[in-house]
Amino acid sequence: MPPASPKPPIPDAFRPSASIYSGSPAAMPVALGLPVLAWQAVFFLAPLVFLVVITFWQVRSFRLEPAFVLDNWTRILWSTPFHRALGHTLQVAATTTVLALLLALPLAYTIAFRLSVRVRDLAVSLLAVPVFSSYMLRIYAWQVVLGADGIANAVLGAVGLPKLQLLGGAFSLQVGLLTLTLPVAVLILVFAMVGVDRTLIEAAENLGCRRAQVITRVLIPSIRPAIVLAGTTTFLLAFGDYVGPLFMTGSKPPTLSILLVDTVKSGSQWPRASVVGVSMLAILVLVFALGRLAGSVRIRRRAS
Amino acid sequence: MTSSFVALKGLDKRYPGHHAVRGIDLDIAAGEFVAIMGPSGCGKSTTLRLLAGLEEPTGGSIAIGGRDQAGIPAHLRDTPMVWQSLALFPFLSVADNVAFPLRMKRLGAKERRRRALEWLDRLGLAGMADRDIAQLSGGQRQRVALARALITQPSILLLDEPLSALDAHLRVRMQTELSRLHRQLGITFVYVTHAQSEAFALADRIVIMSEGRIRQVGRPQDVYRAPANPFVAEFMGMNNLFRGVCRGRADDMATIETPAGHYAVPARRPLAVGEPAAFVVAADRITLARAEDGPPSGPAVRGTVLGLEFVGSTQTIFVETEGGQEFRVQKQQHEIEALDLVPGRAVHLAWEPRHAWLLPETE
Repeated sequence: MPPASPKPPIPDAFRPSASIYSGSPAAMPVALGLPVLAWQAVFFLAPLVFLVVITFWQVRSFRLEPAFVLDNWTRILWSTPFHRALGHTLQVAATTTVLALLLALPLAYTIAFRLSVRVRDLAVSLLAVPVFSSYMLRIYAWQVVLGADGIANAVLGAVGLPKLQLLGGAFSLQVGLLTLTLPVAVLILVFAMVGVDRTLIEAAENLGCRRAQVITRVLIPSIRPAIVLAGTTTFLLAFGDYVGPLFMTGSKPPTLSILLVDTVKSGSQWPRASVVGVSMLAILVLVFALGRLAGSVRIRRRAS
Repeated sequence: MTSSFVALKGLDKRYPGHHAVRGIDLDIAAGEFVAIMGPSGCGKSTTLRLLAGLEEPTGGSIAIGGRDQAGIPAHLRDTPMVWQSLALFPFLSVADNVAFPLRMKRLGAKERRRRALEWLDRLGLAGMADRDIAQLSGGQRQRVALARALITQPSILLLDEPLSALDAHLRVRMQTELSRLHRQLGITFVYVTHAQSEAFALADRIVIMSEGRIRQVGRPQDVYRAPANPFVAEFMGMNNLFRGVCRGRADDMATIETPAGHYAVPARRPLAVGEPAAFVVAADRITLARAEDGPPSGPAVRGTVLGLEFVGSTQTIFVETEGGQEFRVQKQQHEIEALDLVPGRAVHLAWEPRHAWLLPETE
């Protein structure tokens, strides 16, 4: 470093160093991204490709044999049980999505705007705990509550009301699926609402907006991408869930995931089960793409 | 004041652990441009928020247009505000942002659109109506925020440091724009800022606050030339403050003993011998001379040049007096060229006795 330089020289720390970048600054992101790419290739892409490949294989005397036949696809896609299961699963997942959003929006609003910061943090951690606890355990807990001699019926009996068949229908299935999805939906919406600029809300009030209008005119438009994310996440979780339908309805009517397992169990039909699986994945990709589209396209009501 | 449009009486706002506004009284005439200034946390923004109804006062009253505002919620006040962050709605187009208050008033879509376009045109934003907010420059967003606040034709506009996010060049242009709007509309502007240049350029009257209290209200030149107390004098920045005790009275002059020496000051208020007193000499009232040229006649202090600062053709010279106080002197470049002022040079600072301003309050 020259001692009496008129301009301070660039410190070495800010110079591109040959030892780190090996000549090219573009090498750094590649080096950091490589492990992730490798992980994805080995544990996601490879099984996926294998799953698709299997759909063209054959099963002969309970043994899987490599082949290239379209028989599995035609048999599943044109079968009535598949159509029924698909329709049922779509309807169940859509219902869960609507219910989860209807419940999550007011809940998230209360947590984000009506609670003090300390109580809000507590509520967020109480929501995060179930996400990381066993879903199976929570489903069992609901069986204790909703069963024929469960807590709910005991309470009903105590106030002189007749027993209800709570378990084994659409109601208990939704209870199960909401147990899975509601905490996630609420968390996504709480984080989005906490991030909304408070001056936007004050500005709306200042410009003549009543409380209720602030929610519909400013808050909801501000968090639209998060609402779409919460909706797609809920749909994806409910659509692919196996434990909920199995324990809350006794697999009747079957959802696609139930159908998938049943297909495997009946005569080791791995190729046909794979067809169900690939179809489910295709639907999820479609839903996710539609969600992305809805989240990014600006639906603008023009004043004209 | 006979016709006060805005009247604050004993207005008070306490938060848990913080007394933001401590019982202030202020009258603002209809059509007046008032700037509220003060350091951060002095209560100026809280006062504005109280006017808009975004905060509930814990004491005192606010009347706007003769109507007590107690219990009137923010959305019914018609006291539109322009925020420092502008608070434009990113999910609405430019025209829909501007028409937002009309939508709240349930005006028809056609009428909303017509009036939004009219205001956009008026603020030089013709043709921008259907753009996204994100597509606009800082100055254009500023105009959208103004149009949105003014579209309901309010009788008062509140501005909370609206220009501080703009660069210097744009800030000056927007000042001109605000001045023009204020003249054309003839409505009351209440403008909160920490920037002296904005307040001086725009306001009819300046309110200076500190620690939740009003320290002085007056025209810009009064606040600058005739500060009421040491706080205002120092807040204005270009005043040199002397603190001392009155040691004598003769005719209309008082002699003040300060650590730097005895000075004769015009006694503009009753002042008893032995009473504490403070006076200021404005930075542009001081003349500079090199120490080797001998002491000047009249009041003066000796000091050493610390440094110089250019602002256009004006130079601010920082001088440390022998008493260790930092003084500022403001001169035109041509006035001091011959003095060859470099840091470390010994100088005399002199002023005419009539230019010393005895502060009405010593604290």
